[in-house]
Amino acid sequence: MPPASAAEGPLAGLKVLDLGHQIAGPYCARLLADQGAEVIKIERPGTGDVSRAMGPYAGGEPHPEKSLHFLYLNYNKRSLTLDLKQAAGRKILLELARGADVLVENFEPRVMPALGLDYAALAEANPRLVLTSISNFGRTGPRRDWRANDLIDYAVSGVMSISGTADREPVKHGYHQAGYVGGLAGVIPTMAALLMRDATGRGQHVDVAIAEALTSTLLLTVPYYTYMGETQTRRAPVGDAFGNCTRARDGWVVAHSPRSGEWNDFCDLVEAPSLADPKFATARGKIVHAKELDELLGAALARQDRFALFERANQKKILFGVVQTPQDLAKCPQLAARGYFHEIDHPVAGRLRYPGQTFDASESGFAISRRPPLLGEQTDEILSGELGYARGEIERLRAERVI
Amino acid sequence: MSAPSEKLPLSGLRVIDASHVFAIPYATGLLADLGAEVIKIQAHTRVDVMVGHGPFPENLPGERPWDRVGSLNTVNRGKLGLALDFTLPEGIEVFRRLVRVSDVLAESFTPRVLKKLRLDYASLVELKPDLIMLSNTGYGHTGPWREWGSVATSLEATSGMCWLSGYEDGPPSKIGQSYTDFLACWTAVYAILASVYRRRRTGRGQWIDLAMYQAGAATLGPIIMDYFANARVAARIGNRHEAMAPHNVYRCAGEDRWIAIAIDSDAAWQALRRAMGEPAWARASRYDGLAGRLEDREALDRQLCSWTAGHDAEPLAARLQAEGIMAGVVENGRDLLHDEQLHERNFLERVTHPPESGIGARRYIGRPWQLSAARLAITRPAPQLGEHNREVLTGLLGYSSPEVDELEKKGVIGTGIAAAKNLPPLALEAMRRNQRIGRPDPDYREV
Repeated sequence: MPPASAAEGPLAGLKVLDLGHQIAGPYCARLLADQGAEVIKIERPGTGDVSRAMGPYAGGEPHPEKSLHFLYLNYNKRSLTLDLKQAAGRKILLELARGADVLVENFEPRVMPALGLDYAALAEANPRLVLTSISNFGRTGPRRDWRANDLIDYAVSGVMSISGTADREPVKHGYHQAGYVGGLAGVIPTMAALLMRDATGRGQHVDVAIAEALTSTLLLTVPYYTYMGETQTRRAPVGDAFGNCTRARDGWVVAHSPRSGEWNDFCDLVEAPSLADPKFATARGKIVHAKELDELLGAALARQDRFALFERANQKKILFGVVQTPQDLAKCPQLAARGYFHEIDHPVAGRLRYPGQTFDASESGFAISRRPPLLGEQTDEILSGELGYARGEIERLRAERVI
Repeated sequence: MSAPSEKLPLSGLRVIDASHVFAIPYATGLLADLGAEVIKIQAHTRVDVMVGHGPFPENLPGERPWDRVGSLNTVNRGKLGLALDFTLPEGIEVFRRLVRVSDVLAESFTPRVLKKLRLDYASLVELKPDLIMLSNTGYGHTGPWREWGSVATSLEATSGMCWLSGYEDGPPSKIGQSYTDFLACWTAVYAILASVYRRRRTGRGQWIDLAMYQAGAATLGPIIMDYFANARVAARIGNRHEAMAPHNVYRCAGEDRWIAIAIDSDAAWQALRRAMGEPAWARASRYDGLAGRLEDREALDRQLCSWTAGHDAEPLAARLQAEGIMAGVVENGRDLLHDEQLHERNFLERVTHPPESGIGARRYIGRPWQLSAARLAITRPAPQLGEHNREVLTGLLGYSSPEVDELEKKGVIGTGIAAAKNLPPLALEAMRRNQRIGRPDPDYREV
């Protein structure tokens, strides 16, 4: 591989095949693309990635080139359509695999072997290939072939058992978090396998389990049991004044229990002289007088404008959070100052602002160098340019609906 | 512990972990699992904020509570422990000498702290030109909020996660345990590995500016774009799905037992009907299609609940899965430790602590990934505070034994924290009354 120049992304020159669909696989491949990898997205002819049929859409009306999920998860990639159920499609995939460093997929574990595309077949085509398989429960074990989505992953992971309140049902995180977590967890062992390849010259099969990634976040729930035999549950909705979402005049904030010695500063901040009673100042006092504290603090916060309070608190070095809505995020001065939103044109979806880099680096890193691809937009370019197919062959493949 | 001859992906990489709480300690713990040599720099002058939260073995904080915290022992596995006061000049010198012989430094101080000590990237890169340094903060090192303090709960709110989480008819909610910490953790590992990959090809290091807030917002991309494109502010949907019904959790027999069921097609709905024995309410033709089920989902949820209430969650989930229906038990902490799937994959790994720690053997969260060509494992238990002071200073940094004695005498290094002795145990009975914990299980040491 030629040495990368300082200005290029860290993964410049790395070739990735994205056989992913929906969120986890495509997000994993996009994170690689964001750092300079060349990613070819392989989509089913006709309909493409199922995320093309997931709302919301730019402009509101369903359209396969306007799905915001698809657009967000697939910029920096090229798109090739390929029917893997046909032998000719599989042959093309193996040809692509010969020149690739990584293949990312998030089918259910039985799918790739059923297509004749298990790790052994891919490794035979290219022993240096890293195959990253992301699934709900992993490629082994009794739940291997269970069907799941975000809800089931959250349930089985244990995270739901502590989410929500004691008087109601367990509840999961908002929207499609499991997929993002799976994609993010997927890039780590992929990179580890690539670094290992530097020493061994060989690729390997990477097995990522989304539900295990969610369980990995239970840094208290697991040791509560292994250290004490205690099972954490959902909390009763009382004593919520601190560390929880509380109403402000124009939205919601999160107040944190002030450090000892800062109680009076805190009372000044929220303009609540009635709270400036030493009985509330200690940790114990806050528990003993929880109900009264909840009421007084709730009333004080409800008089405050959330962003003014958030700013004042932070200037006084008092920990404070503000519950931002999607609108607030879109208009957030901090994200704007960090150049987080990138405006790009798209021939069908139009000009849109896209959230970008998950981290910044001093020498290299993020750029949106390609807008999200139209379905199969680069099929001809890749087949003729990269694989040397003649025009007539490409037309034949198209007629046979392989591409 | 892996055999020394076995090649791990990060063999030969030395990492300094100068961070606290969860995100970066966890990230560097995962690097240790991948074969990196990780040296954790801890303060012996103050206690990590998490220490008071426990949990402690058998709820006994003991003489050295800082060594006995379950969450910290999870994230600090596989590391060497150096307890260093690097606000002292001699401590700064140890830190600088360590940077000179290391590949990666990961830290989580507010921007001004390391700058003041001249341990920021600009200063350290002079000592180690190809250094990879990662700085993790709430809001990043640039922008108007750069010096603002944060903890995971404030970041969950600020990153938009709270607004979107919680019940569909309830307030925005804090959810899970320090969620943005984990997004930042994984993002940090990725950023470091990509930088190592780049350094091997270019010979150049770099500085990574990771903002936990930004890592959180990144998981809400389409929702933020929905505002840009359509001026629409997404609302909470709880356990619901925009294109599936039924899609929720349902109460089962027993105390706080629940099953999650997701019906993703008309065929799955038919399969569920059969599994329920074709009750009259489910045969209504308006439920044959998604539109009718979505419209009537609350009634469907109530009916389904009255059916699941008579079943044990585990066999019911297995039975529905056998019929091709997406289902799963809402597992709690105890369930996870008895889960066959996790057991077969050795996800919750047993780690044996040294006898003097009094912790014994416990299971810890491993990694959600496996490699076919390397056997990854937790390589050693979390260090006791300052356990490897002498080993690191003499073996790695060339200090003589008398010099180490001198550093110890001056309090530059240490092995204990005077301020943290005699911590109280957790108030478990009060927590039980407030429904933070359920029934105790006396057999927990058996797992």
